[in-house]
Amino acid sequence: MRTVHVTIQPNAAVQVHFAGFAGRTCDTERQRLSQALAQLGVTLDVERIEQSVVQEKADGDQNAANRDRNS
Amino acid sequence: MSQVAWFRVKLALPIGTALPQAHKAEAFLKRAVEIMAREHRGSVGTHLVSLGGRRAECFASVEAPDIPGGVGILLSKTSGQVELLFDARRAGSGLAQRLHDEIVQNYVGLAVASCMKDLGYRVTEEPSDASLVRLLGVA
Repeated sequence: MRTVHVTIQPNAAVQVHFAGFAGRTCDTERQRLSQALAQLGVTLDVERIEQSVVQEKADGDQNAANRDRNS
Repeated sequence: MSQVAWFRVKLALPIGTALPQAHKAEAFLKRAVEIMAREHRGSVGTHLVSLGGRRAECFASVEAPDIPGGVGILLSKTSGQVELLFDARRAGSGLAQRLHDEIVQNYVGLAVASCMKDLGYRVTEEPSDASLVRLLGVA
């Protein structure tokens, strides 16, 4: 399941959290969203981007461990 | 993989009646103003009257108990930018800036929800404190 959490602050700051995307497809999705918003006059200037593959890997390891325990 | 991105927003509505997005954008701006007015327990109109009795037509206007003299919302036909008209003797520039920020925040929320739906997400608004707009898209 892919999820996108968007938080819009009153000072024109926006945080977007993409989760569940394969590989670098969250980059593509970020660009699609930016382009769609630009059509409505909303320009998103990137201030910072953080990838979190470690968490995903940790989740994957945990899932593998759970599978091992259940087998 | 997951990614968190932080953005700074600039707003300039598409202008020109030939652009289909311009109509959608104007409808969102109107809705954004209505949300702001509701949060201030105010009403939405189309003009502002100054202390001297001068009437100014606006894209929209809001009269509310905590907005002395009301505020007019203008949409620049050249830049697409949203500007506020207010009586500085009654409503200070700090209040006007805050109202402008609220309208922009509401507009961005409506635009994000619409774009995410167009991109195939099921969108819901998440509970949050009054100063934040939080949306969740699931695909």
